[in-house]
Amino acid sequence: MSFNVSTAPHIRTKESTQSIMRNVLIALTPALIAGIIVFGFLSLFVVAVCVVSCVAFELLFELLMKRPVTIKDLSAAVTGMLLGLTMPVTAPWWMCVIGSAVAILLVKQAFGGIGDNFLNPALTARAVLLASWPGRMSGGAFVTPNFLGKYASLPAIDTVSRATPLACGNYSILDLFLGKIPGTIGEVCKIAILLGFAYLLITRVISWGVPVIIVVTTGVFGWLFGLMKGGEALSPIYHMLSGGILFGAVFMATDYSTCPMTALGQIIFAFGIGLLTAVIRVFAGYPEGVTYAILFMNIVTPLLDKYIKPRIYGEQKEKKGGEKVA
Amino acid sequence: MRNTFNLVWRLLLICLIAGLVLGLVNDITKGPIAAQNKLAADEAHKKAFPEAAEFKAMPENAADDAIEYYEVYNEAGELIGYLTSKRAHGYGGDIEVMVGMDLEGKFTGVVIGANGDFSETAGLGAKVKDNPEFEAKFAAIEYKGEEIEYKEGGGGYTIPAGSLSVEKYESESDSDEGVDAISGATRSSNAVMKAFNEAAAQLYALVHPNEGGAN
Amino acid sequence: MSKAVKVFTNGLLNENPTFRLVLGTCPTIAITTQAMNGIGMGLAATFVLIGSNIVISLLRNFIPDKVRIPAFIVIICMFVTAVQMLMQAFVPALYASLGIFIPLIVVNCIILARAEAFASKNSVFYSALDGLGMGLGFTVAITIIGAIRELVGSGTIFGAQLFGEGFEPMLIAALAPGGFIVFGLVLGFVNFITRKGSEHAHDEEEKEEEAA
Repeated sequence: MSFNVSTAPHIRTKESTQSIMRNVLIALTPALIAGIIVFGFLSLFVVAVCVVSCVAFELLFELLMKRPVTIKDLSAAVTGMLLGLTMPVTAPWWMCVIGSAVAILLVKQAFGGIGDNFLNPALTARAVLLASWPGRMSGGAFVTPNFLGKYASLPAIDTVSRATPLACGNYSILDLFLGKIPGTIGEVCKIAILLGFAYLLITRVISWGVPVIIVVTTGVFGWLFGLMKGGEALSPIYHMLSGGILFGAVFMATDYSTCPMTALGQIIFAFGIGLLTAVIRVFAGYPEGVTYAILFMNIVTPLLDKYIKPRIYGEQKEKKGGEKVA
Repeated sequence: MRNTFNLVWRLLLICLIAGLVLGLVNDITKGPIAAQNKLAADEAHKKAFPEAAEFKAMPENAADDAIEYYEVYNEAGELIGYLTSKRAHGYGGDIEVMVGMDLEGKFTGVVIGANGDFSETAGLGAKVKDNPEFEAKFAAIEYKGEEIEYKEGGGGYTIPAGSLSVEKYESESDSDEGVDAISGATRSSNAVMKAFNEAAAQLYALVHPNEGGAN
Repeated sequence: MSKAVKVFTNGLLNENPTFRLVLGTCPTIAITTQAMNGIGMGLAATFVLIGSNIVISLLRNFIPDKVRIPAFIVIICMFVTAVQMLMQAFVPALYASLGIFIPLIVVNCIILARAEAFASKNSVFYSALDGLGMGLGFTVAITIIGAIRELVGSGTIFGAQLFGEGFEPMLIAALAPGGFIVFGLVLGFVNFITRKGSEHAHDEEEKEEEAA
């Protein structure tokens, strides 16, 4: 019998970055399939270009800079898939490539690689693309889906009344659920997103707190602000099922490195995202605000971590009067 | 105390000399600056009224919210039309629309967004400015005193069946007449239309002073 | 003559105000949307820098230490206001393009920094050279950044269209966020090549020492 001599720890969990990332990819698959059903095979092309570009950029960077190659941990692939699913189906291939470059090279690698990014890479890339080619990422770029595999052939555009759910407010709840609405590839079919959410919960990749708080806060405040603003306010359910909030809450806001460490921090984080999304949706000129809300709270996260410290194991706090209480 | 006085007079001397120098430079540049301003204003106005030789401001007729009203004269000194600018609030700020109308009631030109504080979103609302095609569509309208509206439809992208590429889509309309709003720039386009309608109505009233109901 | 050359090239290379001293970043990011802006702003700032350096150096024994900052500011303001009026009168297009950032040259840290660090302690001749070097270093730096942002964000260079009709420029480069990103990338690149250069020089020094 041979005995191993090694240092602690001796018991390790089966988790690794790769296994977590693999689960995320699996969780994203229903959204991808739904996107293909709603918008056609072009969706698959868009997502594929993003994934390949992200992995390629990470590989090239690590080879050029003589660092260990980490594409096997699948984090670049996840970034690619997330980015692809937040693009409209009409996005040209070069936008996918440039977005991938921004996500991997600028947001992730330039700051130290996985775990050191202070912003969600895919979401930041989306924000950059939105500012760089606004006409291609919003409004006119959203085509009306022709359900079930046929290619979209009608533009959703009409500058007097835009047709995304948040812009015109008159889609049925069922349509919102199934995804028969204009929008980005991954965000439209809520059932697919919920399936992914369930899978991530079962495999313990994320916990339910942050996504649920985000979605509920958005719904409630979106509705309240709508009432305050006057006119017709979209119902809370409509807010929760429209736009990228569900997709963002489940897949983007839960990125480990950009989320606060403590429970209280995470509650504030999620609440902030929901509130900001509602404010942007109702009071600002954009129909959708999740991207900026999440990015903003990503930047606030270090502040939350600084002031909300986790309890140190074994620490005893002094009560008034000198008694020590655990 | 002596030390303070020392500091004060030295600083005072420096300030005095600086002031004198600037006064000198001001004298040199006063004339050219005024000339430049007039030139710039005239050039802007000429874009909306190419045949004009001179613009005379009309303060008595100005309504409360107009930027300016001008009588327009040609080289022979004859009145050939009117010019005005109107502002409307777009997305990021005000958009100024300058409209010229000749004595027959036809538009001589439309200039959109020449105001210094133009701040619509780049790539979306900003497309209303520096867009000669858009401006020409407004200028081509035959105005009869009624408000103008945008054509139905618009533009965007479409995916032809079976293809992996994306094509730009323009609205199909029977005629080239009329104006389409700019895709993805609803608020900016609406502001332009609002300002244009106001300007057109006021100009029409000036050109046809005897017709009632054109205000 | 060698000291003069050293003083001059200092502002261009070793202590380039934009890439080494990282001064005057506010106008750097704000106006570098076009290459022409870079040249215009750079030359205006250079003029102010040379002028204020000369005058401050001339007066370096006249200005008491306690009030040196107000004195410097008044002198700098004088030059900046003069430049502003001259630009408004004779190059109105550039004046309109640079807008509020012309009067802001007064608080451009480069000018006050050179007044404090160099002109108040050196002769007129070298102060003028320092002003020239720093000003040109600033001009070159912001013109480079401006050229990149103009190329990527508008598809033109010095106003000339480079790409065809179908080119869709990356608008963010012409906006504020793009300014920060491009500035950061260029700064990183400059650090990268100068580090390589100094490593190379360091290696050569070592070889010489070993050979000795």
